[in-house]
Amino acid sequence: MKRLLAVLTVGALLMTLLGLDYSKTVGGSYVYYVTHWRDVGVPNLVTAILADWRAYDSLGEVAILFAAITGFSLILEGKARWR
Amino acid sequence: MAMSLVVKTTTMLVAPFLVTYGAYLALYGYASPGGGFQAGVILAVSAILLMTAYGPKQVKRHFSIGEVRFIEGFSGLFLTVLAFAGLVFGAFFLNFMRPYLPGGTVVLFNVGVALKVAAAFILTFYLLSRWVDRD
Repeated sequence: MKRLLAVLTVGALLMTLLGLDYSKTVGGSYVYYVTHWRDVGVPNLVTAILADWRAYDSLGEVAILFAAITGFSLILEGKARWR
Repeated sequence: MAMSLVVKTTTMLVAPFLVTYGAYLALYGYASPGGGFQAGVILAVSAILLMTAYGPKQVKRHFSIGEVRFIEGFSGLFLTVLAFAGLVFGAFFLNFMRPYLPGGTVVLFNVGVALKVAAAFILTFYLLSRWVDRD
């Protein structure tokens, strides 16, 4: 029963993903990035997107890392019980 | 957890080059393929390789857990201050250092992320290595 449910869920997800439209869209953020690339002053487009336009994302990633390390040391810090 | 002489010698020879490559990726990530996260992972790998070859105790003696924790917290603070320093000049995350530095705040941001990621991974391995039975 559980296996059937898993197969059905994965199948539905697969059908949804296969039915999406993957054709290239004209306009939108892509055109903005390509035309305003020189404004950033960084010769690498990937870095320009990641560290300048979408630096919020990277800051959030850093916050996630900090939270993970805080929880990690909270749980595993202290004297080792089994040794 | 110390390994054989071959592994120890190879690791000792490879680790400095890994640190150099990580620093290169962090500093020149604005102009060439690279970036903060990759550089941080490579920096962390150099320490983790030494830990697996020589044992965690010996690495912890030279690079203590307090130093790693200080680097982790300080780089997190540095990134947050860098983000809010742009607010003084007009906008959040404004690239205000572009006239003084090639790449501006992007380079500083990459270096900060690299230090943060490296310290986080090394700290994870340090904390996990306390629960290892043999050394």
